[in-house]
Amino acid sequence: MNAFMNWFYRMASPPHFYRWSGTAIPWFLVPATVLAVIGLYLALVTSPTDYQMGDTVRIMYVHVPVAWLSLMCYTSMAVASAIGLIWRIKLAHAVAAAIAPAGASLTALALFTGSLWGKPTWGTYWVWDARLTSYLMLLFLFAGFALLRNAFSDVQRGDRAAAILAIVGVVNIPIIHYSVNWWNTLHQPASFSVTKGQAGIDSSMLWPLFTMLFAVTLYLVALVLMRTRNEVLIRERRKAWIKEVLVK
Amino acid sequence: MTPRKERMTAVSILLIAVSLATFFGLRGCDNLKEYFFDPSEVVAGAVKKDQEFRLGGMVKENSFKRTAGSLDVRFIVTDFAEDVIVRYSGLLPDLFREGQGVVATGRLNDAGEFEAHTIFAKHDENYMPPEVAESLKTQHPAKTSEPRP
Amino acid sequence: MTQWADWFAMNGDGVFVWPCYIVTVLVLVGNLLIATRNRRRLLEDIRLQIPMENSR
Repeated sequence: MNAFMNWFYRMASPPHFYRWSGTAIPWFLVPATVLAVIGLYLALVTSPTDYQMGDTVRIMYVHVPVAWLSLMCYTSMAVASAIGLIWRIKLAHAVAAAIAPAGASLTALALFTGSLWGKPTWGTYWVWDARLTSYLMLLFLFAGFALLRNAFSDVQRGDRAAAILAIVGVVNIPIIHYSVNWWNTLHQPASFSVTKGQAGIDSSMLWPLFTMLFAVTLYLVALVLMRTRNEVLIRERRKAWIKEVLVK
Repeated sequence: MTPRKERMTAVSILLIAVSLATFFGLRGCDNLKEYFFDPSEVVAGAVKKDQEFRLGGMVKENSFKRTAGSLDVRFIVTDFAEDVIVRYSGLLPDLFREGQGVVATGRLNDAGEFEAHTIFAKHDENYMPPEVAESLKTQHPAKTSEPRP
Repeated sequence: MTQWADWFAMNGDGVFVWPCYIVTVLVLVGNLLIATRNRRRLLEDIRLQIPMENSR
């Protein structure tokens, strides 16, 4: 345990992180691009139409990955915030700050693609059911996090205040996930379930979905690493190691 | 306690407090969150007369009738326990089918029928190509209209 | 040629499907471009600040 914590602290030291993340980014970005091209081909060309929805089912291949990963983004942002608060690791706050705009953009995309899916299937772009309303809250939480952090002139105080908001807001994640089971909603229930273990999606549609999901996941890791490096540059600009890195 | 453990406790207490507050807050305002009522709730009198509400359930098989030459339609919404007759005049969403979910907005008339002014189709969580749906239908004919728990 | 037009039209659902894909790709690529632009600016700022501090 101690050895792990030591390794963790070393990886999380800003100069060390700055060096390894620089090499790591292409290893995520290149496979993400390749998978995205394959995924787009599968989703738009080879995958079948749905027996009820016809071609609009293709919206699923962007809607589901971005919606699912936006929840992952929020959860990781809250975990990073908690690590930053409890262990006083500066890099953890930098990671949380880097995730927020990425997560917000995914949430906005999920809302946009969802409403374009809702119109031809349900007959409306938007309804105030429990799923859509709680999911809209997620966008406000990401925005609130970024605004609160920027409201402080002192980076450290901004980090801590925003971290508390991130942790408080994490209760919304199970609410979003279970809203379709707990309450009557227009949004359909989840097609995957851990307890039932079955997928309501035919395998010919699962493969494009997983390819896209995997592509966006790799992309997100690369994006968050890039944005965290920027956060590190902002926070450490007066440190000696930055000059050494730049002069080289 | 070390300062780190104190902070850990503080974060945990914060999280538990917020979860409890949300849990009881959400339990307190049930009517805000239910987007629609089931036919059983409507038949049991959950809705006041002349009150506008949403009714959700399955469109009962072979219940759909259209008055010839008009947009007036009539169908039955069921939750497989109770039925409610729905009347509506207008265009229906593309996904409106018998045996599929529907959410109608409107109010009950004197005859106990639901007069809807808006109809949304409710999709289920199953996605498959038409061929698969066709073969499922021949293997298990009841599969497509299974009630949602 | 018509089979491409048919594919693009998606039986009329294309008006819903294509904006989803186009906007998603634009936003995801835009995120990367903004991140690299910010990085370039930050590095420039830091480079400017080095000689200033050395001359002090």
